Amino acid sequence: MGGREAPIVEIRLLGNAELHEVTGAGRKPVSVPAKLMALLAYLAVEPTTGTHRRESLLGVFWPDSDPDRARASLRTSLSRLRETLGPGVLRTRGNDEVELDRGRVWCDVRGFTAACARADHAEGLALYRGPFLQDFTLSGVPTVAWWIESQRTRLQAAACEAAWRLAVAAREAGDPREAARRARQSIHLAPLHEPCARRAIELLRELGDWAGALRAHQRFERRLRTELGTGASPATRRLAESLRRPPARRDSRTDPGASA
Amino acid sequence: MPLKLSTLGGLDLHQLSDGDRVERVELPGPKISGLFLYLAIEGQRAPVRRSTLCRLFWSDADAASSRNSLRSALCSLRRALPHVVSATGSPEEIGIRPDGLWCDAHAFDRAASNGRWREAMDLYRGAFLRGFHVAEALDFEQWLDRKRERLAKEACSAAWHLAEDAVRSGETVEAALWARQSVKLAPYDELNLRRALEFLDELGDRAGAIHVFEQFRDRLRAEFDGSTSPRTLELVEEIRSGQLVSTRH
Repeated sequence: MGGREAPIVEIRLLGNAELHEVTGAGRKPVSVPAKLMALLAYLAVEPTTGTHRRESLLGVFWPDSDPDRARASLRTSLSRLRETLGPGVLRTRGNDEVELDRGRVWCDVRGFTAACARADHAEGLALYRGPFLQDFTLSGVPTVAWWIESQRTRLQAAACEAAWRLAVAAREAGDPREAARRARQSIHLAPLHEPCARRAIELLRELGDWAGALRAHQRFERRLRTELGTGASPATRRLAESLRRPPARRDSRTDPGASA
Repeated sequence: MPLKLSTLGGLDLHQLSDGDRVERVELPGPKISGLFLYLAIEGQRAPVRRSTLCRLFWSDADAASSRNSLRSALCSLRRALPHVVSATGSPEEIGIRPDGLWCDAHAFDRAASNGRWREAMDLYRGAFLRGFHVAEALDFEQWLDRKRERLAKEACSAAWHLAEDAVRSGETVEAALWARQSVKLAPYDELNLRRALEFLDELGDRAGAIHVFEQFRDRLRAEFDGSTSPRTLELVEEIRSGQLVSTRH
């Protein structure tokens, strides 16, 4: 990367990882090997503020290596990242600390988190293209895999919550269609999270969309069985049962079995 | 345009040969068909990563053997459909040549996003890849499900645009047909059902409204042993008793 106009480095980690160099002339994709991408993701996402100590990076990315070799590997990786990102983007503070120049780097995770923090959930969800580092594989470094998994869980829960907040807001604004759409989206974003699924199904029921609620329940139950080999909890089953019970104001003029 | 892929209403793949001759193309097995379909649908916007294809079709295998399976599936696909699957700048990505393939789902999207509702509905002949499935490919099946739902929702919205257009031009019969069609396209959406019931009643099609409701109710009962909500039942009562205020006629 480089150029006379200092480019912005755009790091997208929600969904498939993408790295772009953005200049006045447009966006150009930049390809980096998996381990460097993971290191860049780590630098971009952690910590919320401040710099990274080399020791902490070694603990995540080279946990089992001999300390000298690990330090040398980190040095090499950081220097390759510097080359990829262009001058001044990855900065060193003293001998021990590194940081990304936040003015030159845009990362979707930060954009998503900031949008959710200021309650701009629609903008947050527009940035959420999929699970954190989807389809990203880096074999042989379990500490990195754990970090990715923990971020994925955290961000998925935040995305589900954002959709839920939008559903509630739409209900309060008297827009049942949007409320139902966002409720379904909240289930889709955290498909195995039972309390999330249950509150969304409850909202569909409250909106008078019992058919939609039953369908959402059926899909949730099916997914639990396929992926976890288990069924829903009694609370969720009771909720589904309540949608099967004929409501008090039964339509008495139609014969239940007439035209199935 | 040498290859014509129809997905709306079921899978159909045709090769346009010299002159106007059209030949049906059979792909070798559901997994290779699934791979081609995913590339055809998602790969026209941007190349697809190998890791994504591995997750979609071989998520149970370890990384090395899923990559091998993908390699051999891509070989079979290239043999069956030469010149359609293309290389990209990166060995990690697979592309599709947009000029070599026409797909009805893309044409539908283009028509719907440009407000050409009639054309969109002509293209939407039924559910996306109806009846198609790939065993032991859970993530692909989920993609299929979401795609199917999104396209049906788009079609439902197109049907409503046509219904409203028809009302404005005084075509009551056609308006009622599109409203009924919207319920067929959103068979689990009770909010849409109520909209259609009110719309039909306002058109003066009380019998149509009751009939649509009964079909919806019976299907819900057959499939989930479920019931429509009290709100819907109240609305049906109001329609039956003529309490709903009509504004359109």
